[in-house]
Amino acid sequence: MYAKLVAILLAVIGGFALAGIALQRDEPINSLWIVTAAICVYALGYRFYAKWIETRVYVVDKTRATPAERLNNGRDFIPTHRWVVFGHHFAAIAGAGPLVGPTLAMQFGYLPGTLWLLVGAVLGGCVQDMTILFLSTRRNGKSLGQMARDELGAVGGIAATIGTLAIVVIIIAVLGLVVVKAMQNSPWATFTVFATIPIAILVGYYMRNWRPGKVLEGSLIGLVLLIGAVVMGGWVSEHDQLAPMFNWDGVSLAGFVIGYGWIAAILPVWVLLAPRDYISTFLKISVVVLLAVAIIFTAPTIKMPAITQFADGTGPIFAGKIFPFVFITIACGALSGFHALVSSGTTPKMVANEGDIRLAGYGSMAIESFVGIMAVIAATLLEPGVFFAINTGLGVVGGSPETAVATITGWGFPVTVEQMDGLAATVGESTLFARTGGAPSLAVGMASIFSSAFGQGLIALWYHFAIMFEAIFILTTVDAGTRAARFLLQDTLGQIYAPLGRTSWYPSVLLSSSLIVAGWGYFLYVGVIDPNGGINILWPLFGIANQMLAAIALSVACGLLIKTGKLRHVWITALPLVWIATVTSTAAIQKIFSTDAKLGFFAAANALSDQLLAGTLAPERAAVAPALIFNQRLDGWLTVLFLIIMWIVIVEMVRISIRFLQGKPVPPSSETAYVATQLDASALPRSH
Amino acid sequence: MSAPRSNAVRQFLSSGLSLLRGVTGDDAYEKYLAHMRANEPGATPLGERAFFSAQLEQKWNCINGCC
Repeated sequence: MYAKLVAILLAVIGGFALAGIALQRDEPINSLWIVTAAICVYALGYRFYAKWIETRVYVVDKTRATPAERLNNGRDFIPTHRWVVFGHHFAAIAGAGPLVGPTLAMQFGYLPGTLWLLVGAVLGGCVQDMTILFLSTRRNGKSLGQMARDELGAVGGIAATIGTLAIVVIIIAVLGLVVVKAMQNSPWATFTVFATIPIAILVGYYMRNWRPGKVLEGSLIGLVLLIGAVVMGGWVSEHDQLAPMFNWDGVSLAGFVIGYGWIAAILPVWVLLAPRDYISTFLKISVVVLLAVAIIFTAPTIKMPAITQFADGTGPIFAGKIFPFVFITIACGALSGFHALVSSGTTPKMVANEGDIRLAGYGSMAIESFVGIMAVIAATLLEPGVFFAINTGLGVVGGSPETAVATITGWGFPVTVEQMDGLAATVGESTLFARTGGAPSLAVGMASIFSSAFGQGLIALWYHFAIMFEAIFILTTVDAGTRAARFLLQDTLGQIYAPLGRTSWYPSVLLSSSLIVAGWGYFLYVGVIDPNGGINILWPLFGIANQMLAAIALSVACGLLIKTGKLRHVWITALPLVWIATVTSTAAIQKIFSTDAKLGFFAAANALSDQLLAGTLAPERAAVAPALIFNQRLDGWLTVLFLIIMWIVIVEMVRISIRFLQGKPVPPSSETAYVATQLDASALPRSH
Repeated sequence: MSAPRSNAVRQFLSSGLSLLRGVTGDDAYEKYLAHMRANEPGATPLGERAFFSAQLEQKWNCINGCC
């Protein structure tokens, strides 16, 4: 009775808040409307939809022993308290993705992105993550690729592996580009990011040699040192001799990220990778909590219109109409294929009871979506003119700050050079024009929230704290992703020549790491030399790759649900699959076939090639044109590949499912047999 | 502050801390020792440093994070 009353109350408040957002069109709205609507939507989704799926579709059995119990080895398979599994899973899925994507998507206005974050998460992303976690838990914690291979056959399995490899390479490149753009010609940001390296090495040494395994102590020390580095960065940026040493251009920074990624991938993990990940987890959880508190406390007003004129596809940050590109741009935060890799990785080996799957799978993704909502608020509390001036490449708006403000003001978003310079001085940067990639505008928004909540006057510190916060996530993705891709590649190469598959054979380690770094390093380099900012090309490519992976994960989910006799309820994953396959195919087809040079990869290559031949390009643009032309063509072919991979997996899933329903032989279900649990999961300690 | 209230605060903080220890893996070695005591009482468990190194190797030999 009490629960029903709470639910009705949530529905009423949520409906009221959503109506408030939808109806207040001509005046600025307060961000608390969005926060309220979001919390109600997640709570209702978790309480009703997820609960219904858990009991009616999965039919979770709380008496059934999970792999953590049956295969308990005290290490990776270990029954774990449900809130710890939740925290662990959230820390693993959350990164820079839900911060960057929603920021960029704000060129359409706050409403489309907000609605997709809510609807996409509750009906798509949360369901995908939870279903893959459930299926993997029932299969001894098998990975997505293994499940695809075992149950949908070799073709689906190989397609899933290639898709995974491709997306990892693209994500590292695009996030590398985000961090390079944030550090470019900013001594303060560059010093802080460089300082994270010795700090991580020190913490790694502490955790391994001085106080083995004391990761909380080590992380805390690292956090304090990092904050010290942010403060010191301010001093460095004012220093006559030191500041120029940290004032790097984009190409040099790209070289640094590439070299750093290569070294981090071949060093033992305890040196750099693991300690920074520990610090990053700590920072992630504290900043998310801090930001949520600060937003509720300060209740900033949204200044961006609900929908901008760029819904028609003429947007300056990236090309393409609101459909399908808002759904491609916001991947993490609404529906992210990458999460399926985590849901079928370490988490299913920790779940103590099937009854805990809803909290870890659905609950963590709801929080990740809320992180996306906070990024929306941070981006839209800026004056829209400022937002566009920061996020638009100078190549798009005439090449200089003066032409940029004139163009952006002409769009109906007034901004002046003085305003931008004043803001840059306030946050301790030389300029904020054309700081593409999403990180600087997010940092300005976060700094404004934090400084109004916790004291004015520290805005420059908060700005660089936010940049450091994003950079530390991203650098973790760079080396962890390189390492993960290296294992995938070694696994594939090992099928051709067995010694290459040995993960500890040094020649193979060097070869495969170098191949992976060369792959993403190439995209990063081209992104940096692109006068239009690079992100406008790379982010849609990443979005298409990530949503392709989501389609693969949802296909695996549909196939496995059907094969375990759940045809009647398969729509829980089939509907998101139909939607995301439509979105991804539409976006891919537009990127391949559009004759608009802003939108189509091949059209852009051809237009630039014509200009180069006609000699109409300025010398500095002509110098980089051949690389850009080649890159646009390559991106076009990659998009073709993604489209083909996605449809191969979908068709294979449908074919296997039809054969199964017709009673014909199919690869058998790999679900493990029922074993009764001996464990009281509710009595598990949070820690020892 | 009255006694029951300070107890409640202490309990809140200590459950927060144990949650954090669990999420970060600060207590992994203790869990491992408990497992070894319960399941393989005769065997000699790994030392803390060896366990930590092995744990890191295993954790980072697969995709365990996202963008």
